[in-house]
Amino acid sequence: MKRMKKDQYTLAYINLNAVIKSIVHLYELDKEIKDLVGDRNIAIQFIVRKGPSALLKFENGKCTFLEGRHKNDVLLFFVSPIHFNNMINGKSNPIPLKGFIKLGFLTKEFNTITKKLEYYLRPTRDLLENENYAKINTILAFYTAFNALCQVANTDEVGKYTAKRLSDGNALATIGTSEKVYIEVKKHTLKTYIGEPEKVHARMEFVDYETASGMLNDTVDAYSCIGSKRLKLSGYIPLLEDLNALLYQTSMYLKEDT
Amino acid sequence: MKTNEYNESMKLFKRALKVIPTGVPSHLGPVNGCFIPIDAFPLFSGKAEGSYFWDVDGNKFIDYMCAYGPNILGYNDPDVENTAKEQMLLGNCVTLPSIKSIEMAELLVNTVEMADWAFFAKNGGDVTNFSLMIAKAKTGRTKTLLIKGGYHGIAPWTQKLGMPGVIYDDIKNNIYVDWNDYEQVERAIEKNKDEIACFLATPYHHPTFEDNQMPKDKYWQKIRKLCTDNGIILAIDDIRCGFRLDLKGSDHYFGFKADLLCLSKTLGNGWNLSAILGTDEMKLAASNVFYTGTYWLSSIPFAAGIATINKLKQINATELMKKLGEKLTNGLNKVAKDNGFNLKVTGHPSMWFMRIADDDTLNLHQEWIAECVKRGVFFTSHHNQFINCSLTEADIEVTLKVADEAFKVVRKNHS
Ligand SMILES: Cc1ncc(COP(=O)(O)O)c(C=O)c1O
Repeated sequence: MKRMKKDQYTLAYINLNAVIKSIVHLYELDKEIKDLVGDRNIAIQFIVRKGPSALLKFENGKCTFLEGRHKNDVLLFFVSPIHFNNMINGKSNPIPLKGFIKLGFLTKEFNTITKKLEYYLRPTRDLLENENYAKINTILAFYTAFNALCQVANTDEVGKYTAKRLSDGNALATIGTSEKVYIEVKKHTLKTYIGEPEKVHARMEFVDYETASGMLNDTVDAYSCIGSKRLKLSGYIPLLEDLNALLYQTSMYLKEDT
Repeated sequence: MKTNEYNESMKLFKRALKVIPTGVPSHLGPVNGCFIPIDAFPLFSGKAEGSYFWDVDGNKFIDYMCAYGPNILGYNDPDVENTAKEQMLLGNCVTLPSIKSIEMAELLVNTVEMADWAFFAKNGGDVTNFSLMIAKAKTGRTKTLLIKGGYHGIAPWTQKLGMPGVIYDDIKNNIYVDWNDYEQVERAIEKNKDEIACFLATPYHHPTFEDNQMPKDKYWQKIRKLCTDNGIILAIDDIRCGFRLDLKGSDHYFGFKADLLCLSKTLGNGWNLSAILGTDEMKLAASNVFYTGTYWLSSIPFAAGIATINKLKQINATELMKKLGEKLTNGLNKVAKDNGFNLKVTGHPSMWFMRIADDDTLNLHQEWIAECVKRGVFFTSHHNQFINCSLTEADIEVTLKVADEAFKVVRKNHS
């Protein structure tokens, strides 16, 4: 039965490939985090049994995220998607299979990083008053939302149903001229990339951070933004409609989880 | 040429947003209506007459959307409106229906070839939904065959799973097939033996965003036979095509006979009315289904509908619209070519679909449409357009001039 409810499997994909992945942006945006990691090089492999796996790597002042299994220093194993989702919620710990020497990093620095991530991804009205906080929140929420949407399209039952009707093409989302992410639809599988593709089939342009923030935090509605030209949609609108449906499905996951 | 400004529209939009979700809902609004960019389009109408409407800023438009179909004789057609006014004095929504409901049913039965009876409602979606219920009542089966990308209204079963508010149970009895693929229909029927109540489709394929497609040779004849052989009710959604192709019904136009035929858009030249027409064989099932609405038997729309149909017959409307449509689309094609664009026109000339075929990102097309609208020709980007009978040769000339200038602007923007 195709139900619209949270399944732990999809949630694990969202938590890893969207939430943990956004550490890449956090690292660039928050100087404290960069300082915290310092000049350490460390590659953390996440493996969720019967779920996603990915590598988070800090190397030479850069943070990268790679889906799948790769060469690593620390290997964190989760027995199930639920186990992983509980860790994200702070309710359980991973089983480190390798890299005991670097475990210190995990219990201290990595813990701080995930706490910071949570701080930025769970805004309050007061926090959003702070311009710098609001900007970081917006950027993180922006990339997290598009990454999460792809996980829903690729793994959730209703999401896959939605993806099945998408034809190949690229949808670009931008905030001003500084943030750009595009979703590539290829054979009903969705993937995000930073930047702008050669050919754009549909565009969703937020004129500024404030607009994107309002939309992502549900404080303004899309129609007002369109009316005041703060949000522009163009190109193959059905693709945006379907992505919007996926965003709605994604919000079901993120809502229940908070 | 002067280009329009829409200050008043924008002001009203902001006001509307406060009290109406989305301000201007759905297809008439800037998102579903694809008003790209929004400042090229008017949002509220002030008045309408014939082939034109004037927006709240006083800009005049030659209107090729015709209220998404209903405007077939021209806005405010005097014959229709005077009849409506006469009926208004006698009462509209009353405890008992008026004689007009019978007269309208008789007129439809005498006009549309397949019809032995008519049942009335308000919107197109009311009757597409009814067609499924009649088919289920008649056959005792549960499933429906639908064409991928077809539009039949807004009831949950017509919508896409994954969209807010639509759940799997709403669409689980739908089987989707590609347009014009007879073998797929055959296979679907084989796979769902004795489970399919209804095959519901438009007479030709007129989705948004895609080239419209006529039925292949013998497609409908083969589908008709397949449905008959398998006890499946063939329901035709003639809501958009109805009376623009053929007053005798679009099934008649394509040489077959539907069991049920849904009409709405052109029935009352804008007065709210829809109808499902059926053969005698469907009559008992239609009687057995409980189906009604408070306003469905109001008399003004019937009076207006009778006047509309009589006038459509009198002026040989389908031929007239076809000729106007051909003249206009040939002209648009030529103007496009003169400016180095390839404009692809599909569908029936009286409700043609067009797109600039040189660019699959749709940007050029959206820009061109926006430039036309800014100059007073109201097209939409990705829905078929409509011809109405009051359109004049002079309107077509103005349209072609605007289209030409709009092409030149787009060319210049990209040179
Ligand atoms: C082919 C077709 N079917 C059904 C409908 C639904 O009609 P309504 O919007 O009046 O419910 C439409 C309306 O656009 C239509 O074009």
